[in-house]
Amino acid sequence: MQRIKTDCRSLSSSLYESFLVLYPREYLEKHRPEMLQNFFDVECDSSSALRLWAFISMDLLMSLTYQHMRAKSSRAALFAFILFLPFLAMIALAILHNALTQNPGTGLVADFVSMHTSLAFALIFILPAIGVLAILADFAVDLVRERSWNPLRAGFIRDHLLAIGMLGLGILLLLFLPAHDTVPCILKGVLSSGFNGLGPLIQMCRQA
Amino acid sequence: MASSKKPLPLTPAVFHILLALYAQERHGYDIMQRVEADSEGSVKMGPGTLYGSIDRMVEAGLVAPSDRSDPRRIYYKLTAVGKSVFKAETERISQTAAVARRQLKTA
Repeated sequence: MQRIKTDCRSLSSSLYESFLVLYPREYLEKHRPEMLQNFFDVECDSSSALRLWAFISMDLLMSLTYQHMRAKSSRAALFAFILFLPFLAMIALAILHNALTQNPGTGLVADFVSMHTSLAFALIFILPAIGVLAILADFAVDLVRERSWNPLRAGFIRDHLLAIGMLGLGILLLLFLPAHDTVPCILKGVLSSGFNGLGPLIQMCRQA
Repeated sequence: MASSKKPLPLTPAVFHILLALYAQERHGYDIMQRVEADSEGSVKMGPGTLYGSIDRMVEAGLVAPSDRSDPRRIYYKLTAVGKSVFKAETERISQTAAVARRQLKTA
């Protein structure tokens, strides 16, 4: 299919085209040209860019979530993302608390980490580690099933964007938080002095 | 592959897509506009949501791509199964509405 109606093409169209990469491969192979054509039509009829993007961003959010839940290639990544959520939520809460109160080292997350060290360790280390293992296991199953599975081929990253993103995040966590006692130490350090000097902080916590 | 299960009750999105395609074949954007008009704006679908629903409906055997040749778009049409499911769902909604009206009168 070719695109003909391109009179309304703009920055929005290019932006939408780049967002389409986030959909699972199977879905894109079937619908990419149609979705682009639909977007051009919606854009042509839309009264403002703000209204257009309010509508399209909701559509993207809902359909991306749904399509990744349906797509075989994304299930492990989605599972990993759910396991990462408590850790990401804790970091977000801590940063928000610091920004609002200018009182580092206090607040809900800091109290939680001090009082429930083992649970905090499970949430920020064990669960993400399980997520990483799930993605690696999924890759291994693909490798056995599909002879054509090749991480060096063009398009591999695009096809497994979510899985690779979660894998990267997980490996970073595993590298930086390698010991039980290190976790609360680093988290407390980040809460009290922010992300400045993160390198020396990690070194110090690992040696402690 | 068509599903053998009776897919009733239908979701509002699926029902409105069937309604939009009942009288004629339509392409994606035409379906989006028709659904919005028929539902008086209460069901609004973007491209991502629309093709997700259409995929499921094709799998269930309710709609199929038509043979109409247009280089820009794919047109969709109702299948015989889609027509009968649409009629059955309309009948089910009518019966429910009739019961509801009777309840409202007696209350």
